[in-house]
Amino acid sequence: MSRRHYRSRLLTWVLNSGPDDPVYNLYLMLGPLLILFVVLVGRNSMTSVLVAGYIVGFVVYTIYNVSTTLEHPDWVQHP
Amino acid sequence: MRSDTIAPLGRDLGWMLRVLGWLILVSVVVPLVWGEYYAIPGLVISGLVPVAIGWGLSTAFADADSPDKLHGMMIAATGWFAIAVFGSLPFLTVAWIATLTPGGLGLATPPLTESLTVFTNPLNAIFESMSGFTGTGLTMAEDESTLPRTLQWWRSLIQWVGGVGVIVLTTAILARPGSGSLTLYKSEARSQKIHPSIVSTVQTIWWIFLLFTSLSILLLWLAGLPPWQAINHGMTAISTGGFSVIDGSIGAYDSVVIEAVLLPIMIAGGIAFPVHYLVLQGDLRGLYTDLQTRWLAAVLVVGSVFLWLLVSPAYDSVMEAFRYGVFQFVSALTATGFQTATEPAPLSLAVWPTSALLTLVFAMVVGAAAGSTAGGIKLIRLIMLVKGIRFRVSYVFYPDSTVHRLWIDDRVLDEEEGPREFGEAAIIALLWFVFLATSLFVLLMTLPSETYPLEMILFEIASAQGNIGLSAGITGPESLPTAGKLAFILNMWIGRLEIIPILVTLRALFWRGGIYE
Repeated sequence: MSRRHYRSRLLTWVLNSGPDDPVYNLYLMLGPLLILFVVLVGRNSMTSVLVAGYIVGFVVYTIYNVSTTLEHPDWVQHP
Repeated sequence: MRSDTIAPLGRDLGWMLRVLGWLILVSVVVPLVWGEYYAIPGLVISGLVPVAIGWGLSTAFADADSPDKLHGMMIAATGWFAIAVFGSLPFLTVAWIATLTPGGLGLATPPLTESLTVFTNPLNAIFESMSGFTGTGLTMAEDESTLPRTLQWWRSLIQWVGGVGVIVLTTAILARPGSGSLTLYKSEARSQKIHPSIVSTVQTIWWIFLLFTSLSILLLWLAGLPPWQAINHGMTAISTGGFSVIDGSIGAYDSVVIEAVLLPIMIAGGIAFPVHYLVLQGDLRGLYTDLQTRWLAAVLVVGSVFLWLLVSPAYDSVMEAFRYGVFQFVSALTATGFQTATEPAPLSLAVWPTSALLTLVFAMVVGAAAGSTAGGIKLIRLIMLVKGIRFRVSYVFYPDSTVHRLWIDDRVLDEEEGPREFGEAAIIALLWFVFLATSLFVLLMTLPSETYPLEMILFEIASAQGNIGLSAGITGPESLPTAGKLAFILNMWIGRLEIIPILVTLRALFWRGGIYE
């Protein structure tokens, strides 16, 4: 399996397995990279702002998403 | 045992062991990064053994049929036990290498602390592994901070994987279509589906779990934890596992901010994955219309306030009681097991009032939502039992000609479905108490007399069986006798799989295995 093919499989999995939302897909891929970044760079004002922005952005987008979504996926089986 | 049973069992057990082996081998990155080179041979051996056995089994039985219900339960029961046994190898090998070659082989070994040497005993290693994979969090290590980073990572990783499920992981990796995957999925104490396809469902579960893990780690880092501690605690918090990398669990930080950050993470771990999926789809109704989530919110609020009132007289201030009471109740109900009522807190759980301990026992027996990472008998069964009993009592007050329907949320159960689902919930609850009573008997027989009061022993057993991890101080390499360790291993195993698959497997082994014949 070529490295390129492996990357495309990973990307395909990310795009196909989530809630079909490009913002959340981006969040999933950025999360581990951001963790790696704070591990390598350490705690400073820049990394703190980046991490705070990541978390606040997630919360704000989720609120925005639920307030603007009118169609509900009825095919999802409620537990 | 019949060959048509052995074949699917051998094939799927083989795949589970292969996945476990690769998890161990991938973890070699940790000792490389931290310079714990002495741990690498131990990890490599520990990884190659299950990979080789798994490869042999999955190759020999490659043509086996899809598992039916019996096979699914047997695969889940034997698979989880095998995973716990082979997952103990990193503890065992790293501890023995450090013990046998102090400073030898040219590889600097760690100081021989008691926390590390306890794992030279295979029973302690299996206990730790079973506690990890089942998401329990009871530990044999006296001081987790003295463990090598390699073992700290392995403890966190097995809780993280175990939180979602070993079979869910294997199914996601294999992506094997057909009814066999669904059978296995259900055998691992899961029933909810997000998509019509089970492979898509498990892949979505992992997608959500990965996203929430990143968020948890970054939240904890922002709250002030160093990166290594944030990574490990983030993994064990979202999986509601409860292992820590410091001595004294979360209480050792003595930080209101860290505790406040952990509360929503633990609650998120106690909510079913399909509900998370609906919210991420923009459907907030999924959160507040789901019966289990509503009950979870209600039990969390009522239980936390109740526990707060019970512990208030024991603390100097009402706010202090609120802080510890709320955190411990959320930790117990969501089956996380992080502990704040421990040193250096003013009061440890062991000196809490009996009524407070019994309230936590209730939370640990009930657990959170089915379809989440939490343990216990699950809220949906409590709901079924409460509504079923109310239905049976109200039945008497109506004429015989009345048509009765049992309502569970928006589902109307007919006269066949109602008694069946109520019966299933009642059987699980009854068996839960039978096994609690059995372990209580074992511990009363083996613990030194008059050392621990009854409520503390009950607390510890409920913690083990509910896969919680809170401890009143009984669990430890010396304080817990061998019979108690064996009983707890059984409690954790049956608690994770909700008892039935293990009883089915034992019956199949005794009868079909020819032991009685």
